[in-house]
Amino acid sequence: MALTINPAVSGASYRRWSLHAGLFVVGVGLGAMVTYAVARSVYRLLAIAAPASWLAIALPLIALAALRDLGAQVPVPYPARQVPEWLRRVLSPGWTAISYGSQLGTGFLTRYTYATHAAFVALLATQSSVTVVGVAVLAFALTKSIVVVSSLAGRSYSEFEQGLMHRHRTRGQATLRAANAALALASGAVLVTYLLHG
Amino acid sequence: MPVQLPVVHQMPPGLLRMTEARTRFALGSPAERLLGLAVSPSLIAAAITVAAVSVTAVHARDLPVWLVLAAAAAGWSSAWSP
Repeated sequence: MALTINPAVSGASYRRWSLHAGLFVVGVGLGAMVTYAVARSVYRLLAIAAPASWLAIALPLIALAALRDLGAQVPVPYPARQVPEWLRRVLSPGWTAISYGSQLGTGFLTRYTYATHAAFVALLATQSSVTVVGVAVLAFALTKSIVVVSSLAGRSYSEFEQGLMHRHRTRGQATLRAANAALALASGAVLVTYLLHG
Repeated sequence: MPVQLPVVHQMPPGLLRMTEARTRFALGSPAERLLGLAVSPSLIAAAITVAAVSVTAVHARDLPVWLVLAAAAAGWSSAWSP
């Protein structure tokens, strides 16, 4: 996203870029709500038998994702692709921001990121409160947009590219994956307690 | 897991329109470095750990709190997903 929703790339003014970043947040939120609608439907179907039935889907999902974060090459239900690049050639930057945001917001249309996404969806499906769902989706949308807001143009494309490369050399990815795995597993444990013991 | 660098040279030519001296934040400036910290994997990991420990201490069985924490961690972590 840093390579797309960026004034150095789109040539947009900073005011226009702020609008694009806002549209990206909206798109992520919309995408996450679609995922919530689907997951919630499955949860409610399973809950006819017993709410704890959801654990049959949620726990393997979280466990596999956590294992992936810990380095195991286990399968996870995410396709190995990114958002389609051709879209930014045919859409305006604003529509590109909404389109990419909504695809990334669903989470399951693009490649795997971190185990906490699986935990987020697994826990979200169990919630019916508009406030709780709204706050969680907003938190997801805003934080997922940090990459857009924090990427700056530089004074030329080569400067921008140099800066981006420097960021991607930053160490700590293994630590980040371990932290995500631990949080996902802890969230899974809370989900078990919630569904089995109310 | 090997780090995959984005292939930025393959950007569509139409998207490479440059605007000289447009930015108010030159790369390497304090503002840029500060914002760069926002996508530092070590900082994100530390924030997740501190938040998780805090939630465990205060709201250990409060599922909505864990939900929001997982949501924020998932979103923020993906800022560092090349």
